[in-house]
Amino acid sequence: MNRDPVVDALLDLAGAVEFPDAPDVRGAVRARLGARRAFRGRPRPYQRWRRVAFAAALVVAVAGGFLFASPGVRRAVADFLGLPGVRVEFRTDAPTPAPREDDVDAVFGRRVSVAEAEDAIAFPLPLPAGVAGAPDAYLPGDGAVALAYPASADLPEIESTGYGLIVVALRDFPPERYFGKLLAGKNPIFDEVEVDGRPGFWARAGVHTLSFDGRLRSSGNTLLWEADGITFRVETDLGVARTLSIAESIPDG
Amino acid sequence: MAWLVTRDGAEAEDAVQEAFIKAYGALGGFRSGASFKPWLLTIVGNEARNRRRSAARRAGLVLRARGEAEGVGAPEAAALADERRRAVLAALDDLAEADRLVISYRYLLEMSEAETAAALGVARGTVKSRLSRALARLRQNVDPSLLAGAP
Repeated sequence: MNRDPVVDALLDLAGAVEFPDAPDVRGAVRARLGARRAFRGRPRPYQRWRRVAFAAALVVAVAGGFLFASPGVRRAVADFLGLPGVRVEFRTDAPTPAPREDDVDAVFGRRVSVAEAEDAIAFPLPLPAGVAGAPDAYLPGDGAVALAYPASADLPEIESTGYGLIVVALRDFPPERYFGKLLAGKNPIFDEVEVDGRPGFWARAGVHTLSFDGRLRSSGNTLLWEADGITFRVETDLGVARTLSIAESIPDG
Repeated sequence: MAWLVTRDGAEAEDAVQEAFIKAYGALGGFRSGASFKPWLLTIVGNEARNRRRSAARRAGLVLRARGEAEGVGAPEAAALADERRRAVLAALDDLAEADRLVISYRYLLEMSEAETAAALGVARGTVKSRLSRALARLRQNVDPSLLAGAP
């Protein structure tokens, strides 16, 4: 209760007013920025950094709801990255993952043989070229597969998993299931990158928490992109350049 | 926010789109470590104000259907709340634009004082004084008996 009745009435009104649905300007903005980029050529390094900040800020700005403050904004945020099967959620506080306990299994579903995994999906296994060792295969659900490679000298261990490289690919994933990126803090950063000429997103470890089927774990460095209807997620403890190199060696659908 | 200035969906959409493009181009001037939101709000506010001048038609805010705005409650209380909201909304709509915007930003969009100042393109002190005067004018235009029942 506010002491000023007119303020109380206004705050009450705020919950009852119907704001127009927020228009989705993301595509138009990206198209216009893309046209500028094509005209100007590749960005210089400092421009790249700015774009990183801007991408994150755009997400935060839209998520904050202050532009239109309507439910449409929230729907837009849910699908902000535009990648099927991946959603971004914003939290005012960082969710705390449970202590590690067979985390990969918890997050990525049922452990199966590689052959079983191949049978279970309708697209080629997302096997990166030139990565040594056989992966462990997991089935997160219909239309999705996860391949986890043991840590090695070339693939430092992703702290929260015990693996050095985790590749997830999904297509026609049931809409009620998704890989959630929970962002918190003042400066969540998603860098825009290109994977084989396709738009992708790069999030460094510590920036976000991964959620899947209600389970949480801290995420390593993560690269996300879509190719031919398949959403790919590559998680490593490597930098963006080496992760991109691995990503670009994965065959498309 | 842009819609509150332009009162026109298409103009608001254009303003937001143009603001993001301009913000992108102006990132070099954004001070590292500064707060991004007020900076972006300043740009959106400018764009929206530019477009307001060319907007011919003005739409007003409306209340959601009662079922959405209310929980289950006594019909009399719901009707009274509805009447109060309509009266406050009408009074708000009758205010001069500067008064209407400062109230709308602070209480309908629940923007902070700094964000409101950025969006309006004025100093924080101006927000305080303008808000105080605007609330006084709004109070004069609403039946006190209706306000007495505010939650």
